[in-house]
Amino acid sequence: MDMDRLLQDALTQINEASDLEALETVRVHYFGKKGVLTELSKQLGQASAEEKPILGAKVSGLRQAINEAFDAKKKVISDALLAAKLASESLDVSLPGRNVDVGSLHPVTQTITRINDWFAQLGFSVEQGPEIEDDVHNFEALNIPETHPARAMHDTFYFDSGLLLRTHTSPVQIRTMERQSPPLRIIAPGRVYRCDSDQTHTPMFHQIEGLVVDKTANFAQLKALLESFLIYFFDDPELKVRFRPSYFPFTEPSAEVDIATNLLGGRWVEVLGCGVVHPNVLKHAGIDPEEYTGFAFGLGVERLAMLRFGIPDLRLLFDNDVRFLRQFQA
Amino acid sequence: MKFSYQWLMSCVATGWSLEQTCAKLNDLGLEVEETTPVAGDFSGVVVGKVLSVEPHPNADKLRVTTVDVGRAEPVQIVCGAPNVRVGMLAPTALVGAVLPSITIKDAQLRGVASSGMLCSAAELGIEGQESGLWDLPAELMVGSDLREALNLNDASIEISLTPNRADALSVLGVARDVAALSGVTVQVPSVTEPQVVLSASVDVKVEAAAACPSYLACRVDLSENAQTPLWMKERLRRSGLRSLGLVVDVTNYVMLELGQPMHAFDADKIQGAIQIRNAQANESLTLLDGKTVSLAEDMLVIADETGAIALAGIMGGQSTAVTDATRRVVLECAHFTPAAVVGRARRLGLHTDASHRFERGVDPLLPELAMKRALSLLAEAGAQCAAVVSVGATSIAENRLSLRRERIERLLGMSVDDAQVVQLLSGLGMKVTANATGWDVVAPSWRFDMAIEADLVEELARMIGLDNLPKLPLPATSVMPSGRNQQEMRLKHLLVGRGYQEAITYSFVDGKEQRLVEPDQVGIDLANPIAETLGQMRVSLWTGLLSAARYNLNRQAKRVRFFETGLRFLAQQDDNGLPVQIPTLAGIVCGSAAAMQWGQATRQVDFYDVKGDVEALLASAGLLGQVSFVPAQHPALHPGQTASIQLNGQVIGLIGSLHPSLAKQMDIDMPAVLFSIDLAYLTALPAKATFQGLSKFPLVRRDIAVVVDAPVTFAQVSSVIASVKRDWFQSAELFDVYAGKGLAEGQRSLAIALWFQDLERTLTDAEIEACMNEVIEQLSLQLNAQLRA
Repeated sequence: MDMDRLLQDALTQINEASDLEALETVRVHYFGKKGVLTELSKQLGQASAEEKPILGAKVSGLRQAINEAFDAKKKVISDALLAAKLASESLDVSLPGRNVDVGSLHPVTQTITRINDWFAQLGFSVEQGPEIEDDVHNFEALNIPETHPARAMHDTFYFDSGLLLRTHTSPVQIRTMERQSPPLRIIAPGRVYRCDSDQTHTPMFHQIEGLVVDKTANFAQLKALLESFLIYFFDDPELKVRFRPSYFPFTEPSAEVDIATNLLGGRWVEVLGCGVVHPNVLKHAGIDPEEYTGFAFGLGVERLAMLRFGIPDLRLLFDNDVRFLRQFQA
Repeated sequence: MKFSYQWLMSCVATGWSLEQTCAKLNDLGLEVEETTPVAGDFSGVVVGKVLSVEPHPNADKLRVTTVDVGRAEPVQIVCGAPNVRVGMLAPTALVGAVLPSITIKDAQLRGVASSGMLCSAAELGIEGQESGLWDLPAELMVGSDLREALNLNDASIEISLTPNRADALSVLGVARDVAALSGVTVQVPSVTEPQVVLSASVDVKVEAAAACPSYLACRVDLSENAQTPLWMKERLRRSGLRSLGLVVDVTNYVMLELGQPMHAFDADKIQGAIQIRNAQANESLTLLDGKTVSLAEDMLVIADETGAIALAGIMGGQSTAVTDATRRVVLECAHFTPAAVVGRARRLGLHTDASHRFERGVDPLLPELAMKRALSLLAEAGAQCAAVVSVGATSIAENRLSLRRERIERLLGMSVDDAQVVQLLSGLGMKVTANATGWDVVAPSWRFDMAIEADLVEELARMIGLDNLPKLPLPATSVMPSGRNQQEMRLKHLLVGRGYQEAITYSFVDGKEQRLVEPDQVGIDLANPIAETLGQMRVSLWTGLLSAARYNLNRQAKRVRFFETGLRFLAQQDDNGLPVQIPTLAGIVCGSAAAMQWGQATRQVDFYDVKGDVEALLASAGLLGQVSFVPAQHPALHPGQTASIQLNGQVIGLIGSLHPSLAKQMDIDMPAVLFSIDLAYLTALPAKATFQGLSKFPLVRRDIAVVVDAPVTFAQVSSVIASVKRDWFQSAELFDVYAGKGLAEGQRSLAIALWFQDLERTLTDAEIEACMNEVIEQLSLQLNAQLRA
């Protein structure tokens, strides 16, 4: 038997096999029970002692060569099969996925959260209080007696019982001071109410009150705190901040804070009110104003939200139009 | 308050431009609201004198005039104004003049040449003067530029004043602050002692001396045709006040200039003595504006023998009002305390320049000066006056305060030089004397707002400039903020991740609508709602959410998913005497269950969609295993599709499909599911999780399908299964519910997978079999459940 010839035939047959089935037929032809190579091995036994090792080596080499060719061909066919299967399974990846159902937080909540997070890092606790309040907490304890002209600025909603809807978040200051002893660092976000409704006023809106009571609290700290807060909030290191003397019955000295940013065309916009806590307010809460001082600030959430998001009309915030709310998904 | 820039500059000559002045006023806390030019933008207009007026040959309504404009030759101008007359001075726009609306050129008017235009005030952008040609005062120089002659290069400045700065409700008050800041001396208006000509006296009886510590009255007789001088009219106009005749103009002028409200009565209409007393019960008064008000006994009035003739410090009465015919007046200049005035005007629906000032406080020493000033001004206009009658105090107790050096630094975070403290406070009119720890300070009579040490510190801060104060970092703190708020945000984010939009609805709703949604609850009504539709505090968040959903459905939304957090308000009282106010998380889902998608069929939302969201919330709060959903009833909800959410037997919330009848009434034409949970349970910090171990041994699943009769719930089945105790019994999961063919009416088949796994060993078939048998036996025994064939 011409082994070279045999090898050539085998390689040709392997190469010509077009699928795994044909390849298997070829394999059986050579390696099966009655296969060519099986027969050849049987014949080895009949060879002479001298020829045996030489012939044996040749058969072994032949077997290895055919095996390798066979494996290689098998891989080629399998790869092609897999490739064809994968090709048949390809998708239009541009079709939309399922359940892309993401809502959004209200821009007011996003604004409150942005503010809460910043103050929380400085050790401020978030406090809450009732929205139906009594006169004492909303006015008296904040140094706004019955006859005070500042009451006229508050446009209060009343109930027949004499209770009222809080006109600012400042009562939370009082309730916190009644409950806890200094040192205190709190912010109190929440709904407040004024009997006023037009293009720039809604009868309900949100404020965030801040209060620090400590042995060293002073106006200089208040300035630094609010300035860095406003730069953070508007994400604008170029932001200009201006403090203007103002008046609140519960702080002395009092100030209003204006900002100017290129975002707003450089004009001054009032964003918050603040001041050093009036000694009467501390006294009312049982805190000795000689030992402790405090400062407080209050900011209008809607105003900040409108400036930050470029919302032109306050009333949009309370229409709950999903087309509006959806714009604040990110 | 509104005043003119030039007027202020005439009181305190700082040389500041308008812009500088506004910036400084802001720095002083006298916030500038707006500035407006006092005249339109025009040029080329001079004071002209009409020399002749002839009829126009071709037009009845036109005249041909010659006007002296200060040049060698008069100019010929055709004029249509009816009040043109020979000798009058009028603004004359020359050829080339640019007026707000036109440019003047040589023209032919109906065939007659006209070289210029005689102008009305309105044509020059000046409002508030009479119509027709502007009849200028005779003393102006013919030919002079009108802007120069009338000082029209001026602006009105409107400032918004905080209630404590009553002292700045006058030009003098603002000037004092400016003077203190700039160091320029303030020019207090000159007053000459009025010459007493008349012998007539006024009988004044002050009964309410506490409310009216000082009352000055003076009889004044006016000359025929007494006119308000143009300069005064202009200052009034630039301060936003119309000219109303000499007497009223003078009282208004003095109020603007000095801050003292005054009043003038027609002397001939007063019967007998003037009394200052409290109103009597059932007394009424017809005011200047024609409105009749019924007075309360805490209201201070000026009265004569016939009764009240004025509301003290608020408004005069009609019966004694000064008219064009009035020749004899009684001028009133009094001090009324804020306590006697505050709130009264508001109660009567009034707000006047006088009440605004008296409520906030007027310098108690001002009446004497103001009376003299008014009399001088009237005398200049030809009036004659009698001696001033003065009742009450002409001095007040000193307002003494002390200021500690240490306190300045304590409050401001910076120390201020002793010399500077003295200089700044003295500049504000305070008398300052050093003492051991700081200073004794006497505030001037007009700074009655100075009450405590901190007020003086604020004055220092104001004069130094808040922007010039230092900035100091807040010291570090070891106080840890609470985490409750973060838990609430986690819940909100979870709902957002499940497709919800956060809504914020008003806390007050339409009481009528709320009674439809919550007929069993009593809502608290507002006493003064802004509208009836916002008149009642919400007892649940559903009324607002339903209305928000409707708003969107009406705008073609096919699907709405809202949640909201906030308080709901119950009529019961809490320990503080306030209504119970419960933080609540509520939601509404209506329309299709999922957003439109190409691979899944659209279907409408049902109870279980929303229950899944609620269960996810409960799981996130660590409560899912402890909570049960128990069939419940609520008037707003479908009677067969409502569950109360119970935590250890306590109802913490409610979920259910919107009742079809309510849906109809509320105009919601899509299936809707509502839920509401008390937020406190969800935001209580969940118990810390503990590691439970992980088994290396095989997990075994056995499925059963049991047929139960109609009233048996899954919760019952599940609880029976759970009652079969094995350490290695992991869980039972429902994977199919079937009713219909093969089962009797009302029967359901529940297919449940039971999972078994031990931490320590492989379970044997025999023990699992025994467990399964026990489960089946118990289900059969307790619920009459049959294994499905």
